[in-house]
Amino acid sequence: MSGLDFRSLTRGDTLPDFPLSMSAAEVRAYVQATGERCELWETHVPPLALGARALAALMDHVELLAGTVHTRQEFDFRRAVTIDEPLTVRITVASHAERRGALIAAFQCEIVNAAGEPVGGGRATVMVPPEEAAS
Amino acid sequence: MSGGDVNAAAAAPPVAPVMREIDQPRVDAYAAAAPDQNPFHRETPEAAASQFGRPIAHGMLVLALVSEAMTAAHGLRWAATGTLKVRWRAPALPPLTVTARAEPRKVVDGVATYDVSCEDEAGVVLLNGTASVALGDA
Repeated sequence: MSGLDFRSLTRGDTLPDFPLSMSAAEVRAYVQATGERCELWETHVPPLALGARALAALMDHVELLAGTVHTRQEFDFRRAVTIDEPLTVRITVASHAERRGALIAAFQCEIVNAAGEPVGGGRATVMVPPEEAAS
Repeated sequence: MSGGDVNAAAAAPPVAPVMREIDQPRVDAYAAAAPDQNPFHRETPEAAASQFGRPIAHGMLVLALVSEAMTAAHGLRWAATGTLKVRWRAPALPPLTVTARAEPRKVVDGVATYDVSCEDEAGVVLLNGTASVALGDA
């Protein structure tokens, strides 16, 4: 997917909403990769799996620069999500600034269910070091 | 201590540490499952040319151990009411053994807050921050 130019982002920019759901097979692959063994994930989705999917969508939509580092992450989980539950992810540019030559951006994510009720969200902060930001 | 505070060690369920080896096959599996195919996480020319000279594990893979520890202690309450706020402090260079810990800090108005961290086998802090979860029914 073609991405938005990271340098051209401004605070308040909103990425297109995108659908998200995780199948049993996708959840199994995720927990096998992380190494977690928990019966809860036979019926529900690990909250960080949703976070990982939201970050993947972010990377699909925004063309991050070489050397971009994920520096901070916040999550708030408001309701347990079941396997195959249809969700929608909304991502907004919460901040985008240059500090001492480095580009720092924060992306706010909201995940809602089919009724529009929030099930979780988060905020990812990424930084492009000065040498990469200048290239 | 405010009126809503209670002794954290007495009121917050203990969270057992989670220890796990993170090697390149695990990182590759996570890259496929997350999905996050950033070349800096795989054995690619980009990873070799990076400042680390080799692949680094996904920060979210390391953070998943904190979530696993919180789930083991709190069950679905973690998925329904949990919060996480962390900062990555150092890269995780596979193979390494990561230990995730959550130490009770306080309980206020039925919400337990923990100091969380992940360290490698040498004690290097890979990430730290806080997690919270509502106590009682989700």
